[in-house]
Amino acid sequence: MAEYSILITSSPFQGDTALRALAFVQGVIDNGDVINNIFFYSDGVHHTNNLMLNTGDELFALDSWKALANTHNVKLLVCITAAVKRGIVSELEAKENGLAHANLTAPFEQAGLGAFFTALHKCNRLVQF
Amino acid sequence: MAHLLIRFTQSPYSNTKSQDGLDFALAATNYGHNVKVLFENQGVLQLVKAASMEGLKNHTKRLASMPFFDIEECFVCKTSSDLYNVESTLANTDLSEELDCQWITSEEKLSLIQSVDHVVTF
Repeated sequence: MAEYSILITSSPFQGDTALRALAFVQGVIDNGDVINNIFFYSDGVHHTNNLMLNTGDELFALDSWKALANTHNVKLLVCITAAVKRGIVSELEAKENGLAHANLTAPFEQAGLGAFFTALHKCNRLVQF
Repeated sequence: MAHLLIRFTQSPYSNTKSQDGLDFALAATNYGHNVKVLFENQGVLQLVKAASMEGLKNHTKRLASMPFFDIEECFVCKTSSDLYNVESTLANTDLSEELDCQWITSEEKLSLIQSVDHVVTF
């Protein structure tokens, strides 16, 4: 059984990358292998902005990630530094910095690169999208 | 411990990938992983020293800190540095000396990729 770490560095609007990432993750699960975590880094943090709306005529990745976490209990980690500088903040940061809204909520969890690299010690595969 | 190859493929200031990639590489060694870096495509331009500008992190200066984070193995794609005609420029800068860069061919690139556990591209 293989244990996977998935690194998302592309934004949701970058061609078919989100489609391929979601299909890959589903394939790993169907195959009986394990997803240790999905880590959103760099422009990949845009995936986790819950103020995005579904325009209905293309994949709405946000809902697919949430469904994945709820159905298969997959850990969705968001790099906190990369996120806050792109305007993706949790309730806590919103409150501390006097912002009107927070746009990062469960099932996404804030984490640092440290959490990703600590988990990587346990993973035999790392796949980047 | 995993052996990682970080590929830098973008020019230093065209987007945030270069900066994010460097942060990623430095964090990896902090958590006990082994890191090698490869500069290819427009990434070779990251090694050309540029003047500092207020409000912008100087990327070449930050790259020079890699040896202090135990990133000792730096590779530069020869085809890319030929394409951008920077080999002589790079050979004469302190940075490629500080990083002890090795120029490698396409075949050597393949064996480099095969020698590591994971490849991450920025």
